[in-house]
Amino acid sequence: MSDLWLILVVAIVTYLSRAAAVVLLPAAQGVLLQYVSRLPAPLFAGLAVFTFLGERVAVPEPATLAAALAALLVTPKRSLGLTLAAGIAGYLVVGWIW
Amino acid sequence: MTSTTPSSPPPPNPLAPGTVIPIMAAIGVFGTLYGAAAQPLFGSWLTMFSSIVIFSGTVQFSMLGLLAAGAGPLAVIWAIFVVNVRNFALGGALRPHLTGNRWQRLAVSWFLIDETVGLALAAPSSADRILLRAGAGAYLAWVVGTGIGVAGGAAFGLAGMASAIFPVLFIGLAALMVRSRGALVRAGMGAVVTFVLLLMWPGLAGLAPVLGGVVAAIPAVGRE
Repeated sequence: MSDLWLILVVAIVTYLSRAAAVVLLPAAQGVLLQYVSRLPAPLFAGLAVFTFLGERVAVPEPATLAAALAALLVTPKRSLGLTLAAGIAGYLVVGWIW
Repeated sequence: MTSTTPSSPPPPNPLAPGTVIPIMAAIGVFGTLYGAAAQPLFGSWLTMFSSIVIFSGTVQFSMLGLLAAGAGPLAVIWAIFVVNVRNFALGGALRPHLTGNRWQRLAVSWFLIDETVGLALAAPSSADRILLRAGAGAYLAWVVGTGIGVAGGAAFGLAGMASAIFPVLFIGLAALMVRSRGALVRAGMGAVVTFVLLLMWPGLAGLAPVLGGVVAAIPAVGRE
């Protein structure tokens, strides 16, 4: 299989997984609706942990740790822009010191 | 579930420049890194083509890593299928808020990525519009970022910062989802379960946060 065909197959698998979830599957109702409404917060928190540790599940660089801590500190504001700004600032400051 | 209690903070505007631009910048940086990493393997044209037709950093980096490690096509396709399992969780959470018909949902599903779903769920009454607009911005950033990477833009030393941007981004998206004490508890549970799963079975990789989220969403905690 050439790289071109592999990329096309990967694209199809990826798009079908997106489309199936919002087109083929029926909208959740009742208990299932309550359940899926509870899903996003822990899912995104889990994604934060996964990207923090990386594919190799290793202790991150001090600057990355500082970025995550700075981001966590401003989460009560519930502003994505502020969270990103705090994270980048934490990264730059500790990266500069370390 | 979408109603806001009197004590809840006001919902953020997910399409405000202060929200969308940082996301586009983060995705653009990641796209630059992908472009720089993939160009030696695929060449310029195929690297650009992959970003245009796939539009998924997780999928494309996984594909690249596996190919670079010598994996065959079937192994790559299977791994990509596993990586994409989380789209069912994201789409399942978003589906009740999408009001368009089947064809409209088919169109906007192209933009179903972690970041855009997070924004759409932050203001679920406008989920279709947010998914479309934020998704278009994210897509543009991803493709342009890839182009910069292919052209040699990774020389700006962005690799280290990219490793920090995505945890920060997901922390911010998780915070947007927390509208009650119960959601805060579940976010903590999701993080802990994911952490434990990754420590015990590192090979789970991108499946760990899905399992962590699915488990942590089971109990209803306090007033929802």
